[in-house]
Formats: sequence, C-alpha cells, structure tokens
Amino acid sequence: MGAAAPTQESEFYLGTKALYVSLAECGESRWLVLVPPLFEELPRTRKLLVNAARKFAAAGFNVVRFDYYGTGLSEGRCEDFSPAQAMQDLEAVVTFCRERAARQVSLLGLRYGAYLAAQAAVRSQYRQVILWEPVIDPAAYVMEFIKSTAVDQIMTFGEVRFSPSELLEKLGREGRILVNGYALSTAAVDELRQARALGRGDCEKLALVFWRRSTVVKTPFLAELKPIVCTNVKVAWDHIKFLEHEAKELVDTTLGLLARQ
Amino acid sequence: MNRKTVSFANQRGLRVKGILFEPDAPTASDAPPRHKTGILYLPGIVLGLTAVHRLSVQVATEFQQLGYPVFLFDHSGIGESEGDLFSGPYDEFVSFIKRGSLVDDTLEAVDYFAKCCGLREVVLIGHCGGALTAVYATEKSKKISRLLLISPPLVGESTEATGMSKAQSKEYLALYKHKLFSVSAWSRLFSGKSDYRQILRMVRAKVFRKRGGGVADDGRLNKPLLDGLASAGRRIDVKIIYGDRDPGIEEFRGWQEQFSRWRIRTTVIPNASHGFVTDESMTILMSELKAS
Repeated sequence: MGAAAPTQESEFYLGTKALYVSLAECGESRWLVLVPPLFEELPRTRKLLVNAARKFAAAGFNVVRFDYYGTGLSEGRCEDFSPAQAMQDLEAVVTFCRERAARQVSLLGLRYGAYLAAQAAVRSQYRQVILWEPVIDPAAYVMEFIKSTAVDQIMTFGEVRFSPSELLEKLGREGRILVNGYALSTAAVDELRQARALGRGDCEKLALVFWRRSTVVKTPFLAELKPIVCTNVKVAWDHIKFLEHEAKELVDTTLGLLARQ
Repeated sequence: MNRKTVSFANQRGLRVKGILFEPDAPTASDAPPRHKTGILYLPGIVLGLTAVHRLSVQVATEFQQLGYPVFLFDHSGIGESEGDLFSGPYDEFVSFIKRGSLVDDTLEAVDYFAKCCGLREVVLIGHCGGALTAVYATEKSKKISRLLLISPPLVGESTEATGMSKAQSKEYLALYKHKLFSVSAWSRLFSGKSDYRQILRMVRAKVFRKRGGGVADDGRLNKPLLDGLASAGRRIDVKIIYGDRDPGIEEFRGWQEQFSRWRIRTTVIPNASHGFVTDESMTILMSELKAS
C-alpha cells in the first residue's frame, strides 16, 4: 500500500432522505463504504468505526460512513427504519461514491451492516466485500432483540409483563412496538423475520472476519469457509462492560484484505 | 428537515462535531416563535449522541418543533469528533465523567452555540453522566440559564466499582431469577463469560443488608455534584427527573427534601427505568422536559 495521502473529513446530509454521511477523502481512486449495525449496537461500535475509517483513509482509501434513514444521526424516526429502506440507503451512498468518479468501491459491514453488504454483493459488483461479525439470520436476530425486552421489563416493572409472542400480537394490533427504547414498525419486523439467512453460497466469495469464536462455532458452514478469527479484539456490540475503541488487529487484518488484488 | 452538520475547533485544536437543529423560520402567524434560548443536550457515558435509543435526537426534534434551536455534539475523543479515547472497563469511563473530563468541551460548545445562533441563554439537558457534566459546567458559565437533569447518578466514583444500592441489587436479583431457566445464561456462567463481579456485588449487597448494613451514607455520594447542585439551585432554575425504577432512586429519594431546600424541582416518573425504554415513560419524560 502506498504512502498515506492527506485526508479531509467532512459530514453532510445526503439526498431527500437526509442520510447522515461522513466522508474521509484522500483523493485516491479506491473507495470504501462502511455499512453500520442497528439499534444500540450502533452507538456501542460507533467510535470503533470512526477510528477504523480514519485508519483506512490514512492508508489511501476514500472512506464513507453513513446512518440508515431513521437511525443514528440521519433523518427519520426509529419506526421509519426498514431493511428495504436500509438497502436503498446503502445504494444511495454507493451511487454518491460513483458520482464522484469512484472506479472501485468496496464494502465493509459490521453485524446487520455485514448482512446487508452480503446482500448488496448479490445485486451489484464491488471490488471487495468484507463482513465483520455478520448477522447470519435476520429472523433469529430480530427475535433475540424482541426477547431482550424481558430485561427492559424487569428494569421497568420489576417483572416480565409481555412475552415475545404477546409483543408480536401487540405489534400486529398497534403497528409498532418499543424494543430497548427503539420503535420497530410492523414492516421492519416482518421484513427481518422473512429475510433469508446467509448461506455458504452467499459468503464463499466474501471476506469474513470474526473475533468471537462462538459465532463461527454456532454456524457450521462458517467454520467450513475458514474465516479469519482475530484473537485480540474485544469489541462488543451487546454490552458495555468493556469499551474498545481501537482494534488494531482488526484494522490491520482488514487493510491486508483490502490490499489483495 | 432543518438540521445541519457543524463543527468547531476546541482549545486543544481538535474538531468537535455536532448537529444543529434549527427551527423553521416562522412564516405563518401560528408558527412557533424563534427563541433566544437554545437547548444543548448532553448524553450519558461516552457512546456519543446517538446512545440510549437516540434520546438526544428525540429531544432535539421535540424542542425544534417548539421553535428552539438545539445543539447536539460529541465531545472530543467521543463519537464523530476528533481525538483519542482510551479503551477499558465501563467503570473507568464512569470515573472519567465523574471527574469532570467533559466539562471543557461542554463550555466551548455552549459558547459556540450561543454565538452561532445569537442566543441570550442556553438550557442544558443532560442524561445520566451528561447530567453530571451539565452541573459541573454550570459552575463556570453565566450563559447557562437552566438545568434539566435526567437520572443523574448521585453516588461517587469509589462506590461505583464496589457498592450496589438496594434498588440495584433488587433489580439484578429479579434479572438473575429470570435467567434461571435460560440455557444460554447457564452456559455463559460456566464458560466464564458472565459478569462475576456484578453477581458478587449483588450477593454482597444482599448479604450486607440482611446483616443490618445501612443504605447509602453521605460519604458514598458524589460531593462535587451535590455542591454544584446546591450552588446552581441558588442561581438558576434546576429540575431533576428520575424514573422510579432507576437503580439510583434510593439515594435520590433520600436527597429530595434537601433538593427542595436548594430550590431544585424534582419529579419521579412511575414505571420508568434509567433509560426510559417504554412509550409511557418517554411520553411523560418529554412532557416534563417541555413543561420546564
């Protein structure tokens, strides 16, 4: 990889949906789009993504980060988020890169962002697609998320008042439910529950990076694909007992992958 | 939509980045007036301004609709802003905030906000650690005219790592009871992934109380915060909002009378946790904030 070009960082709102975008430009032709996770996983990993973007930019990539509509700093209410909308948002960001004469665009996704990046790779051509700890099965993911309201309910009422199935009934009746304080619409939950899980075929040509061995163990086809497993990364998305904001091994590994032809 | 990305260089030369929510220019006679008072929201801990279910964005949108300019920003080292932040256990970040590490950027943000929007005064709304920073900052700025403090933790630095209030231990006990039938929870326990320290703190708190140990003595509390509140209450309007299920409710209730002597208004929202994660608690929280 050549010498790092000077980078310039700017933030702006993109398009009619007013997506929050951060662009670290270094003037070279290689572009990298970071596809973010969802819900509270986003703030818990935000600093990691910000720092990683700066390292990638220093290594000669124009790096774009963004928040989906209805999430993070983008316009829209939480209940406006939907997987279909998120895919459109990713495509809008890639279009923005291409309009700026990006010849080679790579995607790097974290958790749900990695799932989305894998889906995007089926629809369009990217130089490289790298998945960090991807959500494999969105249906299981959203049900886990809904189940986690049990903790919320104990914290709020001292007991569990609504089971996951009662919450789904409530969603059917009212069109939205609150999970960890995030409003989820019927469309978002239905789309996630009906989304196809990633399979071996989806991942074969993509670069897979994990740091929790348990994720790989739980999904047999992942182990067969021999993904990269970082051993010194403590980044967590599901708790804040330990906050890691720089993950050198993860960033160096990813830079190695990006350098491959 | 009337929000824009903004930034300013702080005294250490780092770019502090944020979002400015500007009220629409009044065009109709019934449009809310543009205010000379601005709202600056301070989130808790160090996860940046989208943490805790985008509470900051929800607050900003509500006040923007009432005609107030609102400023959200990430302190240097946090979120979008420039600067490094250490990695470490949660307790270290709690101490980092309790020591007042975020005050300088907050004061600069108040000045920047007041200047760029032509404001006479700035109201600080802080959640959790953000509420602490708000109180500390108020000591040093005359532009801050009002404090709306959501769930400020009253316990001090040293207590955080070892102690646990009665309400906290009760909550954890309920949580662990719920997990008794969870296979994954047992597997986490036996594979060394559970938070043993938390479990130990809970057991210690329970055993200690059963033996007749007392509740929070004043020595456990965050003295700079209480001093700051006493001083702020004499000078400006201060309101503290707590959820009745907040782990710190016990200490808060113990001080409510004193707060009222300091002319600080207090409200306890029923069925509300530290993070206000239900529709009902969020609705009451927003109306409490707006009523202030």
